[in-house]
Amino acid sequence: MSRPASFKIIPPIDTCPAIVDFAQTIAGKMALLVVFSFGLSLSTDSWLHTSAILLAMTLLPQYRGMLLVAATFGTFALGGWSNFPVWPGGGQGLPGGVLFKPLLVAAVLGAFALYYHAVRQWKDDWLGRRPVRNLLGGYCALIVLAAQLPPAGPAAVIVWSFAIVFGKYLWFFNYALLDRNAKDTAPLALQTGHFLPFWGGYNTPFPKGAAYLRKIEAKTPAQLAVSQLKGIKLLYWALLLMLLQRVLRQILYGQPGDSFLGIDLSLAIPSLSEVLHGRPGDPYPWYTNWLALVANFFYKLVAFSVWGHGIVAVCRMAGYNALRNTCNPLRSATIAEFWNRYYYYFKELLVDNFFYPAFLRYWKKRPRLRLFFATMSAAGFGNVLYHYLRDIHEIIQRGPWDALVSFHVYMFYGMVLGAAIGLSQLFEKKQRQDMPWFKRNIVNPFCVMLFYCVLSVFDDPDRNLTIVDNFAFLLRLF
Amino acid sequence: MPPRETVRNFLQELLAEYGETAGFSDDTSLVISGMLDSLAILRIVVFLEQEFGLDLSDQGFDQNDFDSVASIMQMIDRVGQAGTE
Repeated sequence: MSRPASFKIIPPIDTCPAIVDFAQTIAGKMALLVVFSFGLSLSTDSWLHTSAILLAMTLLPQYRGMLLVAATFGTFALGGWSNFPVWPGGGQGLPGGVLFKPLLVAAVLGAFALYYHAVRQWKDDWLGRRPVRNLLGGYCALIVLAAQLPPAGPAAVIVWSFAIVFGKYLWFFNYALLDRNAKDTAPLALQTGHFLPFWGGYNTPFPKGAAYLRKIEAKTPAQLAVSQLKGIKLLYWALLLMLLQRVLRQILYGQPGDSFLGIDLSLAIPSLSEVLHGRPGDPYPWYTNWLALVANFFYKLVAFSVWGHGIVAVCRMAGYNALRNTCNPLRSATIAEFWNRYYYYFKELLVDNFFYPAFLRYWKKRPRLRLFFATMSAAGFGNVLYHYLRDIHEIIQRGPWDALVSFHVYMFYGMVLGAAIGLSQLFEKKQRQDMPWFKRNIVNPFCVMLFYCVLSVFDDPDRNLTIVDNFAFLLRLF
Repeated sequence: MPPRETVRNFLQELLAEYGETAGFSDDTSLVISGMLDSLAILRIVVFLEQEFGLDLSDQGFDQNDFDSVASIMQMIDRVGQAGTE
């Protein structure tokens, strides 16, 4: 007996041979671009120039690498280099005027190019053996040095600006270093196209680095057609989720008088930030706290999916058939699985830069400790370091040490998350298909969501709260 | 048993645990395609350490090296040669 085909909201156009064949013709390519551009115009203001780039990359796939470089730097220039908010307060009176940002980017890329070639030149010396660790250490040293300079003086402006831009590129550089010994690695000049690429995903490299891009790049017209069809599917799925997000916003957070698509129902649930701060003298009831926590969890999940899908859709349309960033997180049966499904490329960044190096070097004779230690290195230490360096404006305003102290709630969050994922991996069943259906699909996903929901109490970006405030809120849930 | 067969048999068992029972060639992508995940790579690493005595700690780690039978065999040759230099 044949199984009924499973229903898909977005039809699986990438697996239909007739559509894949059509997508390889000129007419088909144009049709795909029109459909994609229309979807893009519903979601972003920059759809026109993105579509122009995709047109060039579709018609001239043999020059994809060079076009990617031009597209990435062209996008920066078109946006007035606005992806580099170099100095708090708008950067009025920066040295060099309008050329300051481009010169800064050139200086950062030049400095990295020197380091990259030094690492390859002296690969057997201390510099070349642990280049990622050395780069991270050097970057932290640069921050400490900048903090010693007289604030707001020209030297401080230049050094901090350099550090801000370098920080934007940091994890892209690390991926380039990890790929330095591959036989088929591209020249560094060509790799700059996927440092902060035009499809987005700043700070966290989407989709990873050069090695991964080489692997997923469409090498034949058929592969390009499939990649682009998958890009269209993902973009339209993101648009549907965007609609859901808007409806959720109305129902969960809408204020009296608000309406969306004729829906004027609103639960007027306070935001997580509001319930975390509480109302002195008039505390929210426990069920309102829970509502705020659960609503925040699901709303963020949808918004995050929309964001990631949009980036990956453009990437696929450009000919790189990347995996989705968020993929059915609510189906996760373990804490580790949720982390993998929720923010895949951040998880991959931590795995590549922290997990594997720790796993390969330490505790080889003690397998369980080896796995747990490597997981803590990534989900705990790496996670905290990433976010501490990402929020460099906090470091500039408060100084490195005070910024670290004000970051203590997230440090706690990172350590609990790392320990939980580590334990989850240790006790994960190998044969998941043997798990009873109800446990696999209902009980476990519910427990996983409950864990992340409660843990999100400590994932609030407000640095004016202390961990005492977060624990006080946790107690107010019960 | 030749090393290639040893690797192939191990991957076959690993794939079966992940519910992947279809056959695969030496060039079939196992990781990038999503058939195996990061945890599976760790088990491949431990397998290579134990079976072939490889020490990967001084190599730049690249998931692509674990993507297929062919890439794993290339890595075994490369790391083995580096170890004897």
